[in-house]
Amino acid sequence: MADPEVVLEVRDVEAGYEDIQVLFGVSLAAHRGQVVAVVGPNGAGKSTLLKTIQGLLRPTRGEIRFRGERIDGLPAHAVVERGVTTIPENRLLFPEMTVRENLEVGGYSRRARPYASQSLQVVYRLFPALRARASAWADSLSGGEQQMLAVGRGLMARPALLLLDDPFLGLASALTGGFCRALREVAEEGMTILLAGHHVRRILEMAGRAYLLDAGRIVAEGPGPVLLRAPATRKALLGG
Amino acid sequence: MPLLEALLAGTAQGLFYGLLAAGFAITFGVARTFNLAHGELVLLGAYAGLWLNASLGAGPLTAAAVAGLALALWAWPAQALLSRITPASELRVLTLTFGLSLLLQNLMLLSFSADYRFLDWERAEVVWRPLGVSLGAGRLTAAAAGAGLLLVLHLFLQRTRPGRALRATCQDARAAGLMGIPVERMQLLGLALGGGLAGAAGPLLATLQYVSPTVGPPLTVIALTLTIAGGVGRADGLALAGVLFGIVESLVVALAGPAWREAWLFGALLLLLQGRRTGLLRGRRAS
Repeated sequence: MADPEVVLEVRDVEAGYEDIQVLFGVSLAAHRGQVVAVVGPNGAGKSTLLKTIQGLLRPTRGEIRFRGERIDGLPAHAVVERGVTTIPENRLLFPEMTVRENLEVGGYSRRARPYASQSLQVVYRLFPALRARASAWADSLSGGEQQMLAVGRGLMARPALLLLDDPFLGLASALTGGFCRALREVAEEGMTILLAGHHVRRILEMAGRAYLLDAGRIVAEGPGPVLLRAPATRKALLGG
Repeated sequence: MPLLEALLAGTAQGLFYGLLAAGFAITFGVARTFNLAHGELVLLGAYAGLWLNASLGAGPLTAAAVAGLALALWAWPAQALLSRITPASELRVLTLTFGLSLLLQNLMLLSFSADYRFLDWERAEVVWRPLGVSLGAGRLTAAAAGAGLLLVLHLFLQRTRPGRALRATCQDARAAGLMGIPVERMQLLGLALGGGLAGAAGPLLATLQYVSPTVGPPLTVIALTLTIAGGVGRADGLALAGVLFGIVESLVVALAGPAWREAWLFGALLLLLQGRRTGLLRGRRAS
């Protein structure tokens, strides 16, 4: 029954914080090697959705399946162990660790351990700046380097599904092109990427599939470039 | 040669101080708040050591090992208690540890009386005289055990996978969870290390000074001061901070008299709170 190519399936999920419900029956799917985008205005619930998938929040209704297995209700580290990794919006680097140590901790999960040195080489190839600054403290890096480290650290976990929350936030526009290339490269090798964020054009252009989230509901979906031109997108994002 | 004496005795005392602070610092890292009952945990270790010494004739090192293992078990009740405090605000946990400090003091007074006790062993009288300075066996044993445990802790934190995971948990528990690190298990490990190091420090303390149930709070203040100076998750920083602190303390006592010992302690704490945001060794490898 389950399509083996479907990596992530979110069905009818409701979630939120204490008394505030944020997501109202969200459903979406992501296939292997696909770049999937979730866009929407501030407060639409993009971060909440990613947190719920990662296991940082428990859905109050609905189910989340990863490679056919239900993962809603599992703690975040157990979801990581199954192959889902989040690169959080505010990066959450370990400031008093070196670049190298941050990357090593990124490869902590049991599934990633056997490939640690291999993954490190992949990350250094994608982001040569990190190799050059391997022994620098994480909080001494520039904003762009910190973002590279956050993504590199996420890749160290060798996820099958990478969740990126606002990956271009605070990134100089000269760097975003390189970032998109790096992300496409890992997607071509079979990693599924779920992107959420504000840089709508950038994100939708590279997305094979995209969802427009507004006030906790999916209001439109389709291939990224199509959604980019859809009137619903303009309405939700520009308010008119 | 008071200067040389202060230097050597202070270094020895300082290595023990580093050990005293190590358990406090790790507990702070995982619980995100000061454990004001740290000194009392050390004293529980001291009384365990005194009992082992009196009933089985254990020396300070054996007593420290056994007391350390025993006090590591405090991690389970501590975590159970922590998980029951919701929301686990730092102030609430801090208040809890203050209450725990008073509770343990009174339980120890009931159980062991207010008498001052000392861990006596066959080598207690042995004195070593390097460069004309007298160093007692108790002080040397405490220094060697402190240095050894700090070194092991340093290697564990810097070189091993669980050690790095523990440091990551101390720095940002949420991010650690996102890396697949089982945060609750790491917190348990941190509390066990914290309790174990406190317990191990106890019998060593009882070879350095007389102990009674109420001598805990100054120990907590020393541990707190060194943690601010040395940083969390850095055993080398704590060792350095401990030695510097021990040397200055010895100099203060030698030059100004023992009455100034506690004044120096609180003065150092105040100075540190004014100035430093991070540990002594912070930024060592920064480029």
